[in-house]
Amino acid sequence: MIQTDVKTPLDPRTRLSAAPGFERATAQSPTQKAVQSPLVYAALVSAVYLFRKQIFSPGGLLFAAGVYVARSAKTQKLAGTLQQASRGLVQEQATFTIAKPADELYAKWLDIATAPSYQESIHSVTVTGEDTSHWVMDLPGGQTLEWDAEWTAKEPGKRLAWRSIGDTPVPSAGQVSFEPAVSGRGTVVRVNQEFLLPGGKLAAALGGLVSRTPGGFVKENLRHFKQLAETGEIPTTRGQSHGTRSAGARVQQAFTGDREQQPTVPQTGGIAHEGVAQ
Amino acid sequence: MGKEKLEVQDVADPKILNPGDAIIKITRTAICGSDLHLYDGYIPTMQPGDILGHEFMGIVEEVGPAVKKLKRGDRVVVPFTIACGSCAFCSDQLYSACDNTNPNAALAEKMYGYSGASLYGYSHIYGGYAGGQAQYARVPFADVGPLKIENDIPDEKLLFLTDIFPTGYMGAENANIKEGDTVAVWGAGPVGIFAAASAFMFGAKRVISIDRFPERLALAAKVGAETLDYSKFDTLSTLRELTGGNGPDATIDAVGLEAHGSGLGGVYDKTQQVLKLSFDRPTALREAIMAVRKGGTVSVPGVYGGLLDKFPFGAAFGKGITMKMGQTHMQRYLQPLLKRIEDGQLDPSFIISHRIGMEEIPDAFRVFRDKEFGCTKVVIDPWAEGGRTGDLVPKGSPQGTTKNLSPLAS
Repeated sequence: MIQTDVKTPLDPRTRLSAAPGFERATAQSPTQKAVQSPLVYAALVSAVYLFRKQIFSPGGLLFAAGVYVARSAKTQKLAGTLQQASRGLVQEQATFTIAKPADELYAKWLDIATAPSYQESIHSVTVTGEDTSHWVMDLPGGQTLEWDAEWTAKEPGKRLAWRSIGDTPVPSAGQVSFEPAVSGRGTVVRVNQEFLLPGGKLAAALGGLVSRTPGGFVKENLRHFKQLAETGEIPTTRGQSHGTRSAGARVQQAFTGDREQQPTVPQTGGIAHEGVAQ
Repeated sequence: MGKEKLEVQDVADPKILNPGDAIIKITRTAICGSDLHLYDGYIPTMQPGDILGHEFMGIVEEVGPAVKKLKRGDRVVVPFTIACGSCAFCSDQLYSACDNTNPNAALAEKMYGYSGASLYGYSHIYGGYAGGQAQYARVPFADVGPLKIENDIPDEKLLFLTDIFPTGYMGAENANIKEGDTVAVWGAGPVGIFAAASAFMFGAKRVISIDRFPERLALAAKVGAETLDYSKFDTLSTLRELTGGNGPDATIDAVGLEAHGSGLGGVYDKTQQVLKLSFDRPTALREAIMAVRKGGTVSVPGVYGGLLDKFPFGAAFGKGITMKMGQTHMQRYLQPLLKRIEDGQLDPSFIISHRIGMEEIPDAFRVFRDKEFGCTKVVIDPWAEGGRTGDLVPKGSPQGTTKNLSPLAS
């Protein structure tokens, strides 16, 4: 059978929708509904649009907001899209071909305590039991997010699956599959992850303006995994010399420029950054 | 620091940031024609404070813990593309398609749909690495890129292994040249001249170089090319005449996105570019496609950055041509071309017109872009006393009013 749908669903048993409390977590409060009014959404969309175009004039913003509101049919439609988007469940997939054998890559991923060396913003992962681990993630502003996770599937050389357990603000589940490439060279590595985000897809998209979207994180983390597996390091320019950056350049950088983020430098026996001079 | 704004600044020395890095003390560096695309603002994602320069060589100052092939004191030529040496593309010697060296791969994918190898000092979509128009540079993946030099050939004869000699050479290789072929090369700048010289190495019988600057055409003639001044002759009909009505077997666009078109078409392209309707002025590429014989090959070592307008794809399809292009797979050519220099087959330093110091770089960009004083290639000694050699402006010319003072015109 030829499979044309490249989206690989998660194993039904590991789906978040199968987890207890899913309905409650995705239900909408009256405040959420109010925030999603066409007017608020139109303003947001205009602001996002104009920021990306780097037009900062307040007049421009008002004009664009006015245009959006005036075209109410369109705003209604967008509001409808928004209601769907804010249901909270964000599903992402990323695929890379890595020039290493499946068994080796499987073993690397299974050694989950090394995840901070290739997953951005993950501060530490502590193995707490045969199938469980404790995760600490750095959030902007010095906050941290902690949760526990468990393996839900371990199929050597083929697939690993996991989900968060216990009470956590952002329930998540995921899997990584390893499949020999058709060319016979390397392994197709596919990661599927789903997150129950408080603000859903809208929050995810807005987050993407200043940092990465969840999809961006899933993709870049897998890219780092590939780079580390293939070359032993993750390319970086952070900390290199440069001339005077203007204030305008920093604004530009925030909105259209680099998104380079480095995974956490491992505390002991570093993989990515062994012997790095700081 | 902005379009046409360059400054020489003192910044911190580069540091080892990754285990495979090396720090190079630069002994010679150069300005490349492709740097002019940055200078003129045609390559997106440059930022104030970026350090330019991707043609440099020098002495290894320090190596990271994972570097095995280099040690302090080694003399090296650094290729302008940064490749990891381990991914599937590097294994196929497609080094400029490397998967693993761009820290801003996501940004490149957003703009171009893919991410290839990083380049030194060539915008943030190409990695944002600090470049080599400096006294020191950080060289990542130091076991893969740098070519160790174990002879006493002077820097100037080896420096162009960093980019333009291999780029011209790959331009000729991509042209599928067979023994006895006629090849036309648009642009007699450094890449065009090396492409012309290399075309003969691949067996071309005739090479026709197209430009309008007499000093450049003179250099092309030096490597054995016939020359065509497009400001005096119509390129397409002249090429047709010169090739018995058929057109050249292969054409090479060694100009890229800032072609100086003539007539209304040229004005149209320039207008579009200024209005940001189009990034590139593809005059040379259009002509290369229109001129090539049926079933011939168009090779494009010239740099393009965005979308092309009025691209004669119908002619390309109708004639059944082959097109090959791309950033040079540098690491593939370093050893073989070093051998050719060692064997005395070519001394690439003949294209140098100006030797300057660091302080003269901002002026040199303008002089090079405007082709003043017969400028064909600028080489920089980053350690020149006082940062100046005084070689940029000919003796007797008033400083700062360099326009139209070309010695050839006077």
